[in-house]
Amino acid sequence: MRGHTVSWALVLLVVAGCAAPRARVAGRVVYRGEPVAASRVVLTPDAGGKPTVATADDDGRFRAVLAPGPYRVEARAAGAPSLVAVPGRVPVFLPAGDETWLGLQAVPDERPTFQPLPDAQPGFGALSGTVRHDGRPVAGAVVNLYLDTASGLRGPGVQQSLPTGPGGEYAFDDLFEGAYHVVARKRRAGAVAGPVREGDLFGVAAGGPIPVRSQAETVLDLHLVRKERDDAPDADRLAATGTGVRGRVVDESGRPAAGVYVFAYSNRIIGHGKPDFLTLPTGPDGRFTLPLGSGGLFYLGARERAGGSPVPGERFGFYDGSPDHGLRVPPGRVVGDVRIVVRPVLAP
Amino acid sequence: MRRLPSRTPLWRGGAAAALLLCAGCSPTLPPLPASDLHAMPTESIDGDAVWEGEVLVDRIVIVRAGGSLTIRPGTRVRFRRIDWDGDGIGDAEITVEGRLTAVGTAEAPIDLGSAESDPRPGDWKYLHVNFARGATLAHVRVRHAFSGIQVHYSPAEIRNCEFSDNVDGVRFSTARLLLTGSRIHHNVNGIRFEERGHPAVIRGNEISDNEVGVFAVTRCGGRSRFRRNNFVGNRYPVKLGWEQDRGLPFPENYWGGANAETVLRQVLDGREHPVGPAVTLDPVLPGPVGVRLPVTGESSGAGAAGAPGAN
Repeated sequence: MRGHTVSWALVLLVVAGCAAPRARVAGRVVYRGEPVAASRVVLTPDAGGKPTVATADDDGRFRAVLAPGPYRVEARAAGAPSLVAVPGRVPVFLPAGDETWLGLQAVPDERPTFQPLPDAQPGFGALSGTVRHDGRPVAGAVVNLYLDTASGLRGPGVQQSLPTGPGGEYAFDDLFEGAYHVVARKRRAGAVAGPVREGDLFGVAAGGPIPVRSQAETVLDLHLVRKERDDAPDADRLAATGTGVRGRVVDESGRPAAGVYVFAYSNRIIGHGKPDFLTLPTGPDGRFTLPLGSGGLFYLGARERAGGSPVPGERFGFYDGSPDHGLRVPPGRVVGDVRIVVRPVLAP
Repeated sequence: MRRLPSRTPLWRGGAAAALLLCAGCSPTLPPLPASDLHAMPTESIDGDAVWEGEVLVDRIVIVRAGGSLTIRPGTRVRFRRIDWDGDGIGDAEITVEGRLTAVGTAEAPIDLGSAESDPRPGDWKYLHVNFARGATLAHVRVRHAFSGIQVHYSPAEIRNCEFSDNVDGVRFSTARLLLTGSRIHHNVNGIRFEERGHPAVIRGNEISDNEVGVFAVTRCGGRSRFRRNNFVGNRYPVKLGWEQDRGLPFPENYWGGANAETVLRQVLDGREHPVGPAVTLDPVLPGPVGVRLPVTGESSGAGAAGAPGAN
């Protein structure tokens, strides 16, 4: 009788394991368009825990099945040069259900070096290097430093460099001793803010946060890759949580407004801060889908520029379904038919 | 004193009604999460509203994009000291996204202030003109707010008004603002602004006895013109914020009879840093500009009321 009890318990455990939702991921590792065979792709739960490891085949392709959630992803391949690939999204949300595709573009695997900086004050150091793409220096790139990945490594971070010059050099002086996530971006038309769009260059320093030591200069070159296609900044979160709003942006005549971003702030006083959630620009039909994480109360609006404070002439408008522009979105629900009217700021 | 009519579409249920019926007594509010501002009592003005006589504001009043609010001469608007979010600043406010017309007269000014018996700066939040179609103020006295008025992304005209005993007297950014003939005194910051590429005109005012006369926070490029104002008795006549990365000119103003060198010793403009920005004051006016003072119609300065500097 005891043996039967144990057997049934095992069966229940197996069934429970089969029933748990799983995330499926597939991808390909390439270097300058060519597959990187035998890459070791490591997917580490963002909250910590045992990583899942997949190995790419001769065509650079890999697959994995794992628990849904946010992951830090990094692929490495030995060789000359040794290569590393980090996706632009950190962390990557892997939802249950449909397979998630991860295209990973490898770059030379740079490791930081450290030089004495005796003139620096104790507790302070520096970070510098060169930003490159396909081996050539990149002018006009901006490097941002982040203390953690809570923001998804988006926005200005704690420090933002000046745009690089013709030699691609960047530098941060007087940095607090610590460790920083380092991201470089070169947007078309020289913009220093807003989502990275198709054709822009970006690069995330591999290996996690980069150390900055007291009275030392960390030297690290950054290699950028080209973003191959647009994707909404939080599209993976919508897939993961099923929470957000859908609707349409129109002008004062009711015509669809194309080319505007829809934003959401969790604070009513939006000031000059960065929104908590942002779409890509609307298309000709003015329609948008805005993921909203785990839901809550958000203050919504739409505007023409993705970063900085609104400027005169820019199309701008708040969600007017409530006097304070707030909308409460329950977890797991997508609120539809949200309408936002935009008009030029300081229009005569 | 009349209270605003009870149309609180955001706030739920009986607690709001209890608040409205409790005229003259301290309101008893249910506890709210500090971040849950959506639950604040809110009055929405969608059409054309007119205020006159005595008006008690104990909530957020929003003049929506299609609405307008006219405040008649002689109106007294009193704001209750109610701090729902616990930040130490009163939360009663008027936000204008449509149009505001508050035009009093010297004999019958409009008076915006605290409803409390012991009024202090920050009892109420502000008169907030934000992405609005326009605001016109004349002969309005504003006291005991966090900001007497904030103007952002909006056109506004402020003539012959008085802003005193606030944290910020007049605050603006990216505004098509004319501020003239007004008296701005006994605030922490008389005028606080972020220009952000859009010009404002501040001309013919008396800016006196503030902790800081003018605070240029950031992104100010010298397109906001401060001309023919009297700066008198401010502890720091001008202050530049840490993120203000260039100097600013303030020519043709009166600085209480002091020359530029003397005034600049009191200016906080980062010149202690070798490459810091710097304020310039030349030419300094040798005598005060005639400014028609608000409310009482009295005049100050060497010129007559309504002299060229006043408008």
